[in-house]
Amino acid sequence: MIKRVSLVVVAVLSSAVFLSFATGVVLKQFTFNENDALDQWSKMVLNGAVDYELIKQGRAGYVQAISDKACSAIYYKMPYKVKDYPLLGWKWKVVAFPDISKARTPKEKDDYAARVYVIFPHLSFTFSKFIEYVWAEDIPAGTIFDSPYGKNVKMIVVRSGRTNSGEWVSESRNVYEDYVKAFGTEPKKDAAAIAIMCDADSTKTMAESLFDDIAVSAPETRSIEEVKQI
Amino acid sequence: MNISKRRHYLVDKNMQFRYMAFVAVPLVLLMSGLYYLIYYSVFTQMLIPEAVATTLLPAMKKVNIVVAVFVPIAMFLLLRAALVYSNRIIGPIPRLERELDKVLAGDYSARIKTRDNDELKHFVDKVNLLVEKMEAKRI
Repeated sequence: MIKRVSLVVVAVLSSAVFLSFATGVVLKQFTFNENDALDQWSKMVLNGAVDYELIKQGRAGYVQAISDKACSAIYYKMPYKVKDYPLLGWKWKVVAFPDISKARTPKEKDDYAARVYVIFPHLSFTFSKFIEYVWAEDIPAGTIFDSPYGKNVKMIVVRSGRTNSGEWVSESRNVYEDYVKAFGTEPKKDAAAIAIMCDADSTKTMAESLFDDIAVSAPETRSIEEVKQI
Repeated sequence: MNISKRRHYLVDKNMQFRYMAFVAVPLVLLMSGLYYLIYYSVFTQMLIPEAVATTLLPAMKKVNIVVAVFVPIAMFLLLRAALVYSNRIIGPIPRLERELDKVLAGDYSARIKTRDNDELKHFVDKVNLLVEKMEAKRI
Protein backbone atom coordinates (compact mmCIF):
# COMPACT_ATOMS: atom_id res chain seq x y z
CA MET A 1 0.00 0.00 0.00
CA ILE A 2 2.77 2.41 1.01
CA LYS A 3 4.67 1.47 -2.15
CA ARG A 4 1.64 2.29 -4.30
CA VAL A 5 1.14 5.66 -2.62
CA SER A 6 4.84 6.44 -3.05
CA LEU A 7 4.66 5.55 -6.74
CA VAL A 8 1.64 7.78 -7.24
CA VAL A 9 3.35 10.68 -5.44
CA VAL A 10 6.52 10.23 -7.52
CA ALA A 11 4.45 10.06 -10.71
CA VAL A 12 2.52 13.24 -9.82
CA LEU A 13 5.69 15.14 -8.89
CA SER A 14 7.48 13.97 -12.06
CA SER A 15 4.63 15.07 -14.27
CA ALA A 16 4.50 18.43 -12.47
CA VAL A 17 8.23 18.95 -13.03
CA PHE A 18 7.87 17.86 -16.66
CA LEU A 19 4.98 20.24 -17.22
CA SER A 20 6.80 23.17 -15.68
CA PHE A 21 9.70 22.67 -18.09
CA ALA A 22 7.45 21.88 -21.00
CA THR A 23 5.81 25.29 -20.69
CA GLY A 24 9.11 27.10 -20.17
CA VAL A 25 10.20 29.23 -17.25
CA VAL A 26 8.02 32.28 -17.08
CA LEU A 27 9.70 35.28 -15.50
CA LYS A 28 6.72 37.59 -15.72
CA GLN A 29 3.28 37.27 -17.17
CA PHE A 30 0.59 39.86 -17.59
CA THR A 31 -2.80 38.31 -18.16
CA PHE A 32 -4.61 41.56 -17.37
CA ASN A 33 -7.30 39.52 -15.64
CA GLU A 34 -7.03 41.30 -12.29
CA ASN A 35 -8.91 44.55 -11.81
CA ASP A 36 -5.73 46.36 -10.76
CA ALA A 37 -3.57 44.86 -13.51
CA LEU A 38 -2.69 48.25 -14.98
CA ASP A 39 -1.72 49.77 -11.64
CA GLN A 40 1.75 48.25 -11.96
CA TRP A 41 2.31 50.01 -15.27
CA SER A 42 3.59 53.58 -15.56
CA LYS A 43 2.38 56.08 -18.13
CA MET A 44 4.64 58.17 -20.32
CA VAL A 45 2.85 60.89 -22.23
CA LEU A 46 4.71 62.03 -25.32
CA ASN A 47 2.19 64.07 -27.25
CA GLY A 48 -1.25 63.89 -25.77
CA ALA A 49 -2.56 61.06 -23.66
CA VAL A 50 -3.62 57.81 -25.26
CA ASP A 51 -6.48 56.16 -23.43
CA TYR A 52 -5.20 52.87 -21.98
CA GLU A 53 -8.06 51.04 -20.37
CA LEU A 54 -8.41 47.64 -18.80
CA ILE A 55 -11.40 45.91 -20.35
CA LYS A 56 -12.89 42.97 -18.48
CA GLN A 57 -15.00 40.32 -20.13
CA GLY A 58 -16.04 38.01 -17.34
CA ARG A 59 -12.85 36.93 -15.61
CA ALA A 60 -10.63 37.64 -18.59
CA GLY A 61 -9.25 41.04 -19.36
CA TYR A 62 -7.15 42.92 -21.87
CA VAL A 63 -5.77 46.39 -22.46
CA GLN A 64 -7.50 48.68 -24.88
CA ALA A 65 -5.48 51.57 -26.32
CA ILE A 66 -7.24 54.37 -28.17
CA SER A 67 -5.21 57.20 -29.63
CA ASP A 68 -6.92 60.33 -30.86
CA LYS A 69 -4.09 62.33 -32.44
CA ALA A 70 -2.09 61.39 -29.36
CA CYS A 71 1.03 59.51 -28.44
CA SER A 72 1.73 57.98 -25.06
CA ALA A 73 2.97 54.66 -23.80
CA ILE A 74 2.65 52.52 -20.72
CA TYR A 75 5.68 50.67 -19.43
CA TYR A 76 6.56 48.14 -16.77
CA LYS A 77 9.99 48.28 -15.22
CA MET A 78 11.51 44.82 -14.84
CA PRO A 79 15.28 44.39 -15.01
CA TYR A 80 16.19 41.03 -16.48
CA LYS A 81 18.79 39.32 -18.61
CA VAL A 82 17.48 38.84 -22.11
CA LYS A 83 19.93 35.99 -22.66
CA ASP A 84 18.34 34.08 -19.76
CA TYR A 85 14.77 34.96 -20.66
CA PRO A 86 14.82 35.63 -24.39
CA LEU A 87 11.20 34.94 -25.18
CA LEU A 88 8.63 37.68 -25.29
CA GLY A 89 5.10 36.66 -26.09
CA TRP A 90 1.95 38.70 -26.39
CA LYS A 91 -1.43 38.87 -28.05
CA TRP A 92 -2.57 41.93 -29.92
CA LYS A 93 -5.37 43.09 -32.12
CA VAL A 94 -5.51 46.19 -34.27
CA VAL A 95 -8.95 47.71 -34.44
CA ALA A 96 -7.99 50.86 -36.36
CA PHE A 97 -4.76 51.85 -38.09
CA PRO A 98 -3.58 55.47 -38.17
CA ASP A 99 -4.05 56.97 -41.63
CA ILE A 100 -0.50 57.30 -42.95
CA SER A 101 -1.56 57.98 -46.54
CA LYS A 102 -0.69 61.67 -46.29
CA ALA A 103 2.49 61.18 -44.28
CA ARG A 104 5.67 62.00 -46.19
CA THR A 105 8.67 62.12 -43.88
CA PRO A 106 9.85 59.18 -41.73
CA LYS A 107 8.81 61.08 -38.60
CA GLU A 108 5.34 61.71 -40.03
CA LYS A 109 5.07 58.02 -40.85
CA ASP A 110 6.12 57.05 -37.34
CA ASP A 111 2.60 56.18 -36.24
CA TYR A 112 1.70 52.60 -35.46
CA ALA A 113 -1.50 51.20 -34.06
CA ALA A 114 0.45 48.80 -31.87
CA ARG A 115 4.02 48.61 -30.60
CA VAL A 116 5.72 46.47 -28.00
CA TYR A 117 9.05 47.71 -26.64
CA VAL A 118 11.98 46.09 -24.94
CA ILE A 119 14.19 48.76 -23.42
CA PHE A 120 17.90 48.44 -22.66
CA PRO A 121 18.96 51.66 -20.96
CA HIS A 122 22.63 52.58 -20.71
CA LEU A 123 24.41 55.54 -19.18
CA SER A 124 23.02 57.84 -21.85
CA PHE A 125 20.29 57.74 -24.48
CA THR A 126 22.83 57.44 -27.31
CA PHE A 127 24.27 54.25 -25.86
CA SER A 128 20.91 52.83 -24.84
CA LYS A 129 19.22 50.31 -27.07
CA PHE A 130 15.56 49.91 -27.86
CA ILE A 131 13.67 47.26 -29.77
CA GLU A 132 10.21 48.09 -30.99
CA TYR A 133 8.00 45.36 -32.34
CA VAL A 134 5.37 46.97 -34.51
CA TRP A 135 2.28 46.06 -36.43
CA ALA A 136 2.75 48.18 -39.53
CA GLU A 137 0.23 48.79 -42.23
CA ASP A 138 2.48 49.12 -45.26
CA ILE A 139 5.91 47.70 -44.33
CA PRO A 140 6.53 43.99 -44.94
CA ALA A 141 6.73 41.72 -41.92
CA GLY A 142 10.29 40.83 -40.98
CA THR A 143 11.65 44.25 -41.94
CA ILE A 144 14.11 45.71 -39.47
CA PHE A 145 14.85 49.42 -39.76
CA ASP A 146 16.10 52.37 -37.75
CA SER A 147 13.57 54.54 -36.02
CA PRO A 148 13.58 58.18 -37.15
CA TYR A 149 14.57 58.93 -33.56
CA GLY A 150 17.92 57.20 -33.70
CA LYS A 151 19.97 54.27 -34.90
CA ASN A 152 19.84 52.80 -31.42
CA VAL A 153 16.09 52.36 -31.79
CA LYS A 154 15.36 49.37 -34.02
CA MET A 155 11.92 48.81 -35.42
CA ILE A 156 11.01 45.22 -36.17
CA VAL A 157 7.87 44.70 -38.19
CA VAL A 158 6.21 41.66 -36.69
CA ARG A 159 2.95 41.87 -38.54
CA SER A 160 1.95 43.82 -41.60
CA GLY A 161 -1.21 44.98 -43.27
CA ARG A 162 -4.86 44.60 -42.46
CA THR A 163 -5.14 40.88 -43.16
CA ASN A 164 -5.32 39.90 -39.51
CA SER A 165 -6.59 43.18 -38.20
CA GLY A 166 -9.76 42.89 -36.19
CA GLU A 167 -8.73 39.54 -34.75
CA TRP A 168 -6.49 38.54 -31.87
CA VAL A 169 -3.05 37.45 -33.03
CA SER A 170 -0.47 35.76 -30.81
CA GLU A 171 3.20 36.60 -31.17
CA SER A 172 6.32 35.05 -29.74
CA ARG A 173 9.70 36.65 -30.30
CA ASN A 174 13.18 35.65 -29.27
CA VAL A 175 14.33 39.08 -28.14
CA TYR A 176 17.93 37.96 -27.76
CA GLU A 177 18.10 36.76 -31.37
CA ASP A 178 16.24 39.83 -32.61
CA TYR A 179 18.68 42.06 -30.74
CA VAL A 180 21.69 40.34 -32.30
CA LYS A 181 20.04 40.53 -35.71
CA ALA A 182 19.15 44.20 -35.35
CA PHE A 183 22.27 45.55 -33.66
CA GLY A 184 24.86 43.01 -34.79
CA THR A 185 26.05 42.42 -31.23
CA GLU A 186 24.89 40.70 -28.09
CA PRO A 187 23.07 42.86 -25.55
CA LYS A 188 25.68 44.37 -23.25
CA LYS A 189 23.11 45.61 -20.78
CA ASP A 190 20.11 43.99 -19.15
CA ALA A 191 16.65 44.89 -20.32
CA ALA A 192 15.05 47.26 -17.86
CA ALA A 193 11.49 47.58 -19.03
CA ILE A 194 8.87 46.50 -21.49
CA ALA A 195 6.29 48.88 -22.88
CA ILE A 196 3.30 49.03 -25.17
CA MET A 197 2.14 51.93 -27.25
CA CYS A 198 -0.51 53.02 -29.72
CA ASP A 199 0.05 56.35 -31.44
CA ALA A 200 -1.50 58.50 -34.13
CA ASP A 201 -0.11 61.93 -33.28
CA SER A 202 2.17 62.41 -36.28
CA THR A 203 -0.65 61.79 -38.75
CA LYS A 204 -3.20 63.58 -36.55
CA THR A 205 -5.57 60.66 -37.02
CA MET A 206 -6.99 57.90 -34.82
CA ALA A 207 -5.75 54.44 -33.94
CA GLU A 208 -6.95 51.67 -31.71
CA SER A 209 -5.37 48.42 -30.59
CA LEU A 210 -5.76 45.79 -27.89
CA PHE A 211 -3.04 43.95 -25.96
CA ASP A 212 -3.16 40.83 -23.83
CA ASP A 213 -1.09 38.00 -22.32
CA ILE A 214 2.33 39.62 -22.34
CA ALA A 215 4.92 37.20 -21.01
CA VAL A 216 8.67 37.12 -20.60
CA SER A 217 10.04 33.60 -20.41
CA ALA A 218 12.90 31.20 -21.01
CA PRO A 219 12.63 28.59 -23.75
CA GLU A 220 11.28 25.20 -22.82
CA THR A 221 14.37 23.42 -24.17
CA ARG A 222 16.43 24.79 -21.28
CA SER A 223 18.16 22.12 -19.19
CA ILE A 224 17.61 21.77 -15.44
CA GLU A 225 21.21 22.94 -14.83
CA GLU A 226 20.63 26.08 -16.90
CA VAL A 227 17.42 26.83 -15.04
CA LYS A 228 19.19 26.31 -11.68
CA GLN A 229 21.86 28.80 -12.77
CA ILE A 230 19.15 31.39 -13.43
CA MET B 1 52.38 98.13 8.72
CA ASN B 2 50.08 98.09 5.71
CA ILE B 3 50.83 98.17 2.01
CA SER B 4 48.03 99.12 -0.28
CA LYS B 5 48.05 97.64 -3.77
CA ARG B 6 48.43 93.98 -4.56
CA ARG B 7 50.65 93.69 -7.63
CA HIS B 8 51.35 89.98 -7.93
CA TYR B 9 48.72 87.47 -7.08
CA LEU B 10 50.96 84.52 -7.78
CA VAL B 11 53.58 84.37 -5.07
CA ASP B 12 53.88 80.60 -4.67
CA LYS B 13 52.80 78.89 -7.88
CA ASN B 14 52.77 75.32 -6.59
CA MET B 15 50.83 76.01 -3.44
CA GLN B 16 48.35 78.39 -5.07
CA PHE B 17 47.71 76.12 -8.03
CA ARG B 18 47.15 73.25 -5.61
CA TYR B 19 44.67 75.42 -3.72
CA MET B 20 42.88 76.40 -6.92
CA ALA B 21 42.71 72.78 -8.02
CA PHE B 22 41.45 71.83 -4.56
CA VAL B 23 38.58 74.29 -5.02
CA ALA B 24 37.87 73.78 -8.72
CA VAL B 25 38.18 70.00 -9.22
CA PRO B 26 35.66 68.86 -6.56
CA LEU B 27 33.29 71.58 -7.68
CA VAL B 28 33.51 70.49 -11.33
CA LEU B 29 33.09 66.86 -10.32
CA LEU B 30 30.14 67.70 -8.09
CA MET B 31 28.44 69.81 -10.75
CA SER B 32 29.06 67.19 -13.46
CA GLY B 33 27.72 64.47 -11.17
CA LEU B 34 24.65 66.51 -10.40
CA TYR B 35 24.11 67.31 -14.08
CA TYR B 36 24.38 63.63 -14.99
CA LEU B 37 22.19 62.54 -12.09
CA ILE B 38 19.39 64.85 -13.23
CA TYR B 39 19.76 63.68 -16.84
CA TYR B 40 19.87 59.98 -15.92
CA SER B 41 16.97 60.22 -13.48
CA VAL B 42 14.76 61.87 -16.08
CA PHE B 43 15.96 59.46 -18.78
CA THR B 44 15.19 56.35 -16.72
CA GLN B 45 11.84 57.83 -15.80
CA MET B 46 10.93 58.49 -19.43
CA LEU B 47 12.42 55.32 -20.97
CA ILE B 48 10.36 55.48 -24.16
CA PRO B 49 12.86 56.50 -26.88
CA GLU B 50 10.44 58.80 -28.70
CA ALA B 51 9.76 60.64 -25.44
CA VAL B 52 13.46 60.96 -24.67
CA ALA B 53 14.29 62.08 -28.21
CA THR B 54 11.54 64.67 -28.46
CA THR B 55 11.50 66.03 -24.93
CA LEU B 56 14.63 65.32 -22.92
CA LEU B 57 17.29 65.62 -25.62
CA PRO B 58 16.16 69.04 -26.93
CA ALA B 59 16.00 70.28 -23.32
CA MET B 60 19.49 68.89 -22.67
CA LYS B 61 20.77 70.61 -25.81
CA LYS B 62 19.56 73.96 -24.48
CA VAL B 63 21.10 73.21 -21.10
CA ASN B 64 24.37 72.22 -22.81
CA ILE B 65 24.49 75.54 -24.71
CA VAL B 66 23.97 77.46 -21.49
CA VAL B 67 26.59 75.31 -19.76
CA ALA B 68 29.05 75.78 -22.65
CA VAL B 69 28.67 79.57 -22.45
CA PHE B 70 28.45 80.15 -18.72
CA VAL B 71 30.63 77.43 -17.23
CA PRO B 72 33.91 78.84 -18.68
CA ILE B 73 32.95 82.30 -17.36
CA ALA B 74 31.97 80.87 -13.98
CA MET B 75 35.16 78.80 -13.87
CA PHE B 76 37.29 81.84 -14.72
CA LEU B 77 35.65 83.89 -11.94
CA LEU B 78 35.92 81.01 -9.50
CA LEU B 79 39.61 80.37 -10.24
CA ARG B 80 40.34 84.09 -10.05
CA ALA B 81 38.61 84.27 -6.66
CA ALA B 82 40.57 81.22 -5.53
CA LEU B 83 43.80 82.88 -6.69
CA VAL B 84 43.03 86.14 -4.84
CA TYR B 85 42.01 84.30 -1.68
CA SER B 86 45.04 81.99 -1.78
CA ASN B 87 47.18 85.13 -2.16
CA ARG B 88 45.64 86.56 1.00
CA ILE B 89 46.79 83.47 2.88
CA ILE B 90 50.11 82.79 1.21
CA GLY B 91 51.08 86.34 0.16
CA PRO B 92 52.66 87.49 3.47
CA ILE B 93 54.71 84.30 3.92
CA PRO B 94 57.59 85.11 1.50
CA ARG B 95 57.72 88.65 2.93
CA LEU B 96 57.70 87.22 6.44
CA GLU B 97 60.56 84.90 5.52
CA ARG B 98 62.56 87.73 3.86
CA GLU B 99 62.17 90.18 6.71
CA LEU B 100 62.88 87.57 9.37
CA ASP B 101 66.12 86.75 7.54
CA LYS B 102 67.06 90.42 7.95
CA VAL B 103 66.24 90.26 11.69
CA LEU B 104 68.35 87.13 12.03
CA ALA B 105 71.15 88.98 10.29
CA GLY B 106 70.89 91.67 12.99
CA ASP B 107 68.73 94.25 11.25
CA TYR B 108 66.02 94.84 13.85
CA SER B 109 64.53 97.72 11.91
CA ALA B 110 62.93 95.27 9.48
CA ARG B 111 59.15 95.18 9.54
CA ILE B 112 56.86 92.84 7.66
CA LYS B 113 54.25 94.55 5.50
CA THR B 114 50.69 93.27 5.25
CA ARG B 115 47.43 94.29 3.67
CA ASP B 116 44.15 94.70 5.50
CA ASN B 117 42.63 91.64 3.86
CA ASP B 118 45.57 89.33 4.46
CA GLU B 119 44.53 86.31 6.50
CA LEU B 120 47.84 86.28 8.45
CA LYS B 121 47.64 89.99 9.29
CA HIS B 122 47.20 89.52 13.06
CA PHE B 123 49.97 86.97 13.21
CA VAL B 124 52.34 89.21 11.23
CA ASP B 125 51.41 92.20 13.44
CA LYS B 126 52.50 90.16 16.48
CA VAL B 127 55.78 89.20 14.80
CA ASN B 128 56.35 92.89 14.05
CA LEU B 129 55.62 93.71 17.71
CA LEU B 130 58.10 91.06 18.81
CA VAL B 131 60.82 92.46 16.51
CA GLU B 132 59.99 95.95 17.72
CA LYS B 133 60.45 94.87 21.38
CA MET B 134 63.68 93.10 20.50
CA GLU B 135 64.91 96.29 18.82
CA ALA B 136 63.94 98.40 21.90
CA LYS B 137 65.77 96.03 24.29
CA ARG B 138 68.85 96.08 22.08
CA ILE B 139 68.98 99.90 22.15
